Amino acid sequence: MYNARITRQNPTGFIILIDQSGSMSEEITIREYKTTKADAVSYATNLLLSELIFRSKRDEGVNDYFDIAVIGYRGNEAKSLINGSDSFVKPSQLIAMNPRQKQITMERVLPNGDISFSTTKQPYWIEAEAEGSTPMYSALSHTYELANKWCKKDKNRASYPLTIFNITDGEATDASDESLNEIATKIKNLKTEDGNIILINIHISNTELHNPSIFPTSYSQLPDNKYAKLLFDMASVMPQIYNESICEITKGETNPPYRGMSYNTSINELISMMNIGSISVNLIE
Amino acid sequence: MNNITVNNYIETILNPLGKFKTLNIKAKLDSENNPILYTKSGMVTFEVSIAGIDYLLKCFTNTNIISYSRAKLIAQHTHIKQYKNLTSYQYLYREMLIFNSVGEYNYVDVILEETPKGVSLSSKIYELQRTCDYKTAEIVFKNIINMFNWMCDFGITHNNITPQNIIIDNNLNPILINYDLAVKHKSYSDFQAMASLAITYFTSICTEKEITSIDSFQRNYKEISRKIITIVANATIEPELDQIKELAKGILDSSSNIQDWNYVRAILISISTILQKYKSLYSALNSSEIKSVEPKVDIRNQYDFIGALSDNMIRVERDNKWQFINYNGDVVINKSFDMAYDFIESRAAVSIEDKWGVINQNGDFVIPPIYEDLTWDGDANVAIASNNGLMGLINRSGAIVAPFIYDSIYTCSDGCLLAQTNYFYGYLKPNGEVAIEFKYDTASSFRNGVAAVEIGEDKFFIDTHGNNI
Repeated sequence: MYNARITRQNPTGFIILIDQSGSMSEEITIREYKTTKADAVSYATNLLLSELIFRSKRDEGVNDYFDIAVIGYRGNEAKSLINGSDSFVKPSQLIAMNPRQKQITMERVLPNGDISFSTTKQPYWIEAEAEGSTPMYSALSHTYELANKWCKKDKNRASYPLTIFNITDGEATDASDESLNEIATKIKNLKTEDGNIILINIHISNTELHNPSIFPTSYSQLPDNKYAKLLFDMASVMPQIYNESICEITKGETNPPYRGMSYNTSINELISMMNIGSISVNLIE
Repeated sequence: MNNITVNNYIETILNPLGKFKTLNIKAKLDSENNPILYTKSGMVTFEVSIAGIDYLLKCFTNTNIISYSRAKLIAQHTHIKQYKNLTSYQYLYREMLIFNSVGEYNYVDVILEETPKGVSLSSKIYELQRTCDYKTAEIVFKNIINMFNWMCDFGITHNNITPQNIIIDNNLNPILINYDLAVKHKSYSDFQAMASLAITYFTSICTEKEITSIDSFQRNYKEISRKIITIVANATIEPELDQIKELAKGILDSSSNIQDWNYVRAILISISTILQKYKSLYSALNSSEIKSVEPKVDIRNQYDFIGALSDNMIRVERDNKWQFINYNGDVVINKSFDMAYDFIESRAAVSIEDKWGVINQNGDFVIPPIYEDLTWDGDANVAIASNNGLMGLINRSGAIVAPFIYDSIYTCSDGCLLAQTNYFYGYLKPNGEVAIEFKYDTASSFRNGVAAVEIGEDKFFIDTHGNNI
């Protein structure tokens, strides 16, 4: 299980759910730079999308190893954030969209303490948005439909299962805890011959409140908070192939099985979690 | 440190730091000023130049591969990098300073591989086939055989030979690239023993099959080509079943079928030419004389495809229709087909309107063209045909010898045809009788009289009588 080679004939997929409610406009700090949660999440998401494209590049061209969907939820609705697509897109389609390129400058502290600045370009398919309430149930329902169709496709039957990231900073406003748990369970029960779908809930916060629980193994590692426990219950138990990378990020303080969730996560930790959640890219044939 | 992403490497290559900066690497950029790169599992490769010389910069994206490769490659490349026929290869140990996505730094290993000037063997084969330039083909493949021979001398196996990994330079010399999986054997004497065994085995097969001409060579090409791959492409193989698939990587697929027949055919053309004159590959390898086998009549402009001479027939294609001609270029079967394969043992598989049958050398159907798919297995003198998704066997006279009840039947080896029915594998004889009972959950075809089989969790080897060994 969870070892299917990723090929063009048997692609895998990623669905990224982004909370775009009003609270995402709150300020957040990344390495002493201030930005909004929405900006930081869109940066992390675009980073993952470009990584998936790079991993699809072969010397003969781009091979479509991934089906990708990005869904934003705010106000009363959940909708695709990738221009003109209500479903999955492929890396080659993302390239063809010719997104705007944003120049990113990073401050790097060298081993001898010197500071260096490096500049790269980052394509932006996903723009930051923040307004209204948090219709997470709608987003998960939409995800269930997408994922269910994906799993039923013959060519995906033997594929590495979908990985779903749900990035949020607040509580759902459109459903009870029971309903959320129910829809999350329906999603987690979807599967391919290689395993069940992996649902990872990432709760972000601003740095001042930082006391993160990342890939916890039990309630005891969570703050005494009903919502944290709900996200824990809704998340998948991480398959074994992720353990080594998770162990690295959690510094070996806990033992698997890990739960695919985090609470009070910084943006750096969000990026790390998305990197770990996408290590299946190493299974490309 | 987190796994290093391609994004991280791009940042470093565009903004090199520390010792790595002193290499003064210039990344090649595409039309949108992004670095030209491509990936494969666990690795990203950038096209770069240093002081006007083109290189591939290979970077690891999987930490497991980093540690694995580091130990392996450092040991190997110090031995093999200076040898001829191998492109210049620098292993830069912990030279690149890189920052990951969350700002942590680390020093990582990367590889700089000089890009030889020339074209890949695939392109060369295509060019030589298109122009029917057999003379140049012979030179190219003689050089390739010499290269493998030389690798044998040094005890190196490449382990990832593919047409894409052999570059033919302007002087028709082959240069091997991508030798990340190459191995220099620890003990030269062990290696020599393996090489001798493999070559002896090959020559014994040539003798056994009376390889005295191109025709006889091509009649037995399936079996012999596998030996050639074993001996030539991978230099040597310890003849153990479980190692063959791994070592033949790039040539054989997971079912031990040859992936790229163009490559094999090109090698065969060259080697069969040598055999025609010398009757022995082993002695031919050390000879500089090669006899040309250009067709007597120049037919290169008359057809879109010209096959190899087989049973005194050459299959040719023009405007999507296939015919058979002889060595003089005369059409010998006055019929055309939608597709046709070589004559083997005086039989050839052909298709008409999506249905397959088998013809004799007069062009008459001995097996009518009524099958969805069909393979003529000349070695076993039997056709493997399928109808309504099920497969059966038909002999050279057209009689059905194994009923159409099998989900799959594979070509014959060591007198047995691996087959599957009702989820179980077993083996058929070419006359259609069951050779070994259908009781295995998985099974391989026989090689050297041995097949690997599994029942439940038990994995074992059997001989051609079905006895465990």
